[in-house]
Amino acid sequence: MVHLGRDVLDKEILDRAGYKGGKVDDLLLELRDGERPVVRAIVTQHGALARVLGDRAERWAARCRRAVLGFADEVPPIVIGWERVTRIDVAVHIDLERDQAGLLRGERAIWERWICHIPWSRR
Amino acid sequence: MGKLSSLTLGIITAVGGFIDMGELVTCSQAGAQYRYALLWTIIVGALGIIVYSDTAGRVAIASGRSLFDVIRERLGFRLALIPLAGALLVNVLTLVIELAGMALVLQILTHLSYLWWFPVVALLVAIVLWFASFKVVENSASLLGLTILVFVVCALKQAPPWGEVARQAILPRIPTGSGLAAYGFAAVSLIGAFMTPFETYFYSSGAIEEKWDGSDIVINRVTATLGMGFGALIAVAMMVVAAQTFFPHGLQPQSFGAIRVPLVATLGGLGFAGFMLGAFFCTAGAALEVALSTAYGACQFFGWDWGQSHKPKDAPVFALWYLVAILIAMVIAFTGIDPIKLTIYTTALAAFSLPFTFAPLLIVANDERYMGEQRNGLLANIAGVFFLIVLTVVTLITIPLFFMSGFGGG
Repeated sequence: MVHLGRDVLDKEILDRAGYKGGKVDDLLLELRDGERPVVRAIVTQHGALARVLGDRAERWAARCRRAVLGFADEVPPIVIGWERVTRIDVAVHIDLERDQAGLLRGERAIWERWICHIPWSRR
Repeated sequence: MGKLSSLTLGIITAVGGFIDMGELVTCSQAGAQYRYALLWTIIVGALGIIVYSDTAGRVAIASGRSLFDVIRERLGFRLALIPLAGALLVNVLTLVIELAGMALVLQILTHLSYLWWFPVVALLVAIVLWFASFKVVENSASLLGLTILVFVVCALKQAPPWGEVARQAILPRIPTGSGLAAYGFAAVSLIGAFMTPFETYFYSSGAIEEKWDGSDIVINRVTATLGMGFGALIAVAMMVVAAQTFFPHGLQPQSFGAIRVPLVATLGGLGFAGFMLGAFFCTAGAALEVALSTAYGACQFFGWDWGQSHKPKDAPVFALWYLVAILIAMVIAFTGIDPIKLTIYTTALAAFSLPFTFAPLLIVANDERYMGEQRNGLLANIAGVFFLIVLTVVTLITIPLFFMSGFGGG
């Protein structure tokens, strides 16, 4: 029995090798008539949180992503199928590598657009 | 050697965090205006930060979770945005005053306005963070900041009435003619200065950076207690020295440079040199810590790679955060805001924000799934709840006292 709000939402995502992959920002549930909802995926990054906050926050987040990360307006959040979740403890463990799952896209963009231009950043 | 290094973490948090621009300004002003009547705030502040740091360290050890991991996990994203926003605001303002402290020391030495020095010290802090490892940041600042002990030497040489000092630390007597609201606001600012939130963010993150494990539980308690206790001792000396020198003449140190007057009057050149080096390196240590704490908080909240042990290439968002924080601090400084007034307001704001981070930490410290055997015991809970109540009261009275005291001026 998993308490989604307490045990999954807002927990850190750790990839197969134990590296950080963001936080569980939202959950994708399948609702069926007369039955309990079924968790289909965890949702993270690129506006997932802004969606939780509403339209205005989403527009503002999109502007920030465009200015800071150079992303197009419509970058969807990353959705990781529930079947990829292997364990839940103080973090949510997935059996993917974070690069493979696209979880480093934002950090890579920060590196390429900003940090790599600073002297001695590649040391 | 590893354990010794862990102990150093406590010392830097004490010297670079407990003793920083906040203490230098608020302790001197409190001693000058209220003599020993605010010494009790050091006891409250020191015990509070010991409990807070010990809990944060234990949570980090037991669960591997840092403070902002825990805050988001327990409060949820929406509610946790409040402490995050508060922490970032207080941290950036604290960074302004710490960098201003470094620049003011250089202003005294060169007679060149601190605003000319501000970009220089900001660049210096950015360069240190860019190149230095966590251990270098931790150890260099802790060693060089120790010259601030000159305040203790000065207090001993001045030989104040120690019986009276001890009595007023427990039973304060407010000097006649002092307004209660101004006294209350000064007390709140002092508690905020002693319990500066970034100390705990740094402490909690440092425990993870240093890979503390179950065998470090005792080290955690010893460093939290001794480190903060050590800082409190210096704070007492600062207040006593100001009380001995300024209070009898009804003087108030209005500028940063005036804080050194008692040291120079009592110890001569040694006092001057000790103050200059101590003030510069304590504020530098605090500036490094608070810039890191800003990046720690944001990265832990959103789940990005973080850590001073990572190179910028491996944690680019972390590097971006501390660089942006330094840049924003510089912009704020160039508005021409008085760094002494900003220090008073920032420490009060820090006090206001404390329960928002302490409450979720206390909840997690009682959660067996996170803490296992290291879960809070009865004594830790009594202490934790007591200080949560104290901090909540402080939060509730800060803003009314600010207005009642004439914007903190008395």
